[in-house]
Amino acid sequence: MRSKALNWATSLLQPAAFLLMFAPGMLLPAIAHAHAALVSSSPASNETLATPAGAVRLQFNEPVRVIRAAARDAGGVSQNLTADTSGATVTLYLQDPIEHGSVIVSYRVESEDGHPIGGSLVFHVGAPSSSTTAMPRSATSTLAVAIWTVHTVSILYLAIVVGGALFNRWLDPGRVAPVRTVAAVVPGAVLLLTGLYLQGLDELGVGLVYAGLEPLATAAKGNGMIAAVLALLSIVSASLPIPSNRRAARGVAVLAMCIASAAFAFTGHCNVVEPGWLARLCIMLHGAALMFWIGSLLPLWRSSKTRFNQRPLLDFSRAVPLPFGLMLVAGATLAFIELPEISQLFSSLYGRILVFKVGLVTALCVLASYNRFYLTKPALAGNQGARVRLRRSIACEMVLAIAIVGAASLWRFAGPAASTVEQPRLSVHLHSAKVMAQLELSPQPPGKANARVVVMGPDFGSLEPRSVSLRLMNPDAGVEPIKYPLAKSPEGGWQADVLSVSDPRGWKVDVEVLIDDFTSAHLEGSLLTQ
Amino acid sequence: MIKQVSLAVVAGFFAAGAAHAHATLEQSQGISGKGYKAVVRIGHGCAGKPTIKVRVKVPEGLLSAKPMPKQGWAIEKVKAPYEKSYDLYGKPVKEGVSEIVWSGGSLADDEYDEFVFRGTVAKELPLGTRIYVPIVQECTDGASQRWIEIPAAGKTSEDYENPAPYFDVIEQPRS
Repeated sequence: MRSKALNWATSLLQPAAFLLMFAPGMLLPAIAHAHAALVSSSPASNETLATPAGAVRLQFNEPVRVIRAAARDAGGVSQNLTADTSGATVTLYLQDPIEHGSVIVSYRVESEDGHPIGGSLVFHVGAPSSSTTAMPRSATSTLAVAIWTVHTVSILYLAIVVGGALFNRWLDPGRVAPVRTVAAVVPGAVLLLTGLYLQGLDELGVGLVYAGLEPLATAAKGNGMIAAVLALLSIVSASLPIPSNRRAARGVAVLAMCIASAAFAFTGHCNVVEPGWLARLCIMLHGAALMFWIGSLLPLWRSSKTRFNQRPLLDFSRAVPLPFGLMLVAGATLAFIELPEISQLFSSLYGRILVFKVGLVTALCVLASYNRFYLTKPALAGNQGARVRLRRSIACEMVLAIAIVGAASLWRFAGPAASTVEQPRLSVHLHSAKVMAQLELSPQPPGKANARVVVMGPDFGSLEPRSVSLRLMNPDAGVEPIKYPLAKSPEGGWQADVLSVSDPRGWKVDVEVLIDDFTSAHLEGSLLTQ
Repeated sequence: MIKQVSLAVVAGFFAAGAAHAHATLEQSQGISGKGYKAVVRIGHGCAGKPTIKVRVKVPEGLLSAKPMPKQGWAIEKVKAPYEKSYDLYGKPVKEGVSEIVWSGGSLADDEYDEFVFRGTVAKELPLGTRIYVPIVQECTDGASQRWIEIPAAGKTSEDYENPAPYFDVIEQPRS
């Protein structure tokens, strides 16, 4: 065992040796820049491959050491790559080759003097992806099933607790229900936490495994966390001991319902479509009506067991047309916003799920009308047969409710139709002391965007640059600069086909303008200028 | 201990040696009002192609620049007016060599060479000014490599892929 003094001496020795190592370097040569540059690659930049690539070969102009390398698919799922370096040639291996769409391989390498340099290579498998970030993530199938199950059960649970509380306190205040706060909150908390964990696993792209607390930390950054907290809050408030004052009890139930429906607005596709406020309002109304309706089914079914106390049924059949109608209108509006073209109804997964769900809802409408117009009156009048049929019909409604929620949960895996996420053209103004530029990125399906740069002198004077190049990067997402040389366009300005960026958040641009042989300028900015 | 330190020193010299890969200047400092010998070091060609022309932009404030002849290379001196008039040993100078071009030779990608010129650092330049010397390497097949990037405010040359070499203006050391 070493003595403390010796340890102390060695701890000093390391920085000293470090200093000595660089001191001659600082004194002797003037500037120590040795930057490795990428000479060629396989697949080549912007190449479209027929089959997935398991390895990417990068050829640099001098020997390098790989600091890190990652491949990012169109869904934004990133995987770290293992590297095999032999001098100036680096081979990167994809553990899980990306099956389809655009791939961004970002690397950070260090040349022999220790100066790190980053870059990105873009290639496509099959065809370029229509967008870089808004594509549905390719969750592994077991994880997808788990996410779907937990999501469906969570919504049903929320509806039973919160919607049920509203039914009991509004339409059936006479019934004395035992207070079971803990029994209601604990399963809810477990469900929501599980949901968040699975969401985090999906975002990390690791599949259905135990990965410590990291998935929760990842999920906590998104809206899913807010939604889960709101949902839990609504469950807690709906299952707190009932105030003796009926009005107060009703108020608490309504409040719980409002919180729960707000939770709906923080998840799902309503956050990516326009107009956002309308989509959010619709999803809130839709969610509230849905929870009230599903939450009512269980108590109704229970109360239809006996002929006594038919008051709730009467009140429900009077009250239900309003929320039911609201649910249909809000749902139709949402579908209309998220699916603008009728032709996409069968071509997109979103559309097909919608058709399936509408079918279920139609069956439900038939059943509900049958209950409302043919069974309720005789059942209230004491007709034994009608009451039994009503009970069966309510049971059928419950099955349909589960199916509808299950179908809606499938949307988690299918974004709204492609055209709704199509980005408007992005326009960015960049300037420095010597030069100004206007950059426009217009999406050009399939999967590309046209970048156009108009260069001006200061004060909008004309300027004829020697050459212009564009770099796109997303440092926060680990995307190193992707460099594009721009060509002079006949209509004026400079242009090139570049990667389509559907979600501009985090993306930075660097327009390099060669003003004359010895003068260049870098104009940097963000794609999202607000 | 001695072994560790000496290894570090040797490693340091190698680190310095490795730094010659790109176009750089040998001397990192120029004395105000005195001559500055600029040794432009060309470490490799343009992406594997041999260098056939080296163009140096003489920075503003480096007066009466003179290239050192180089065997196998023709020299061209481009004269232009300075941005302002400088005082050179009591005489005002308003123009001088603004660009030096070495051409006609061929420097393979795996070979190293130096291109030398001298000039006088104008007294008017404030001490501590960093003088950038943009260099363009031209190679066969129209390829070129431009070491011309001058860092914007808040950045350093390290942030750029093709930084222009530079030197700093310092006060004459008292002896």
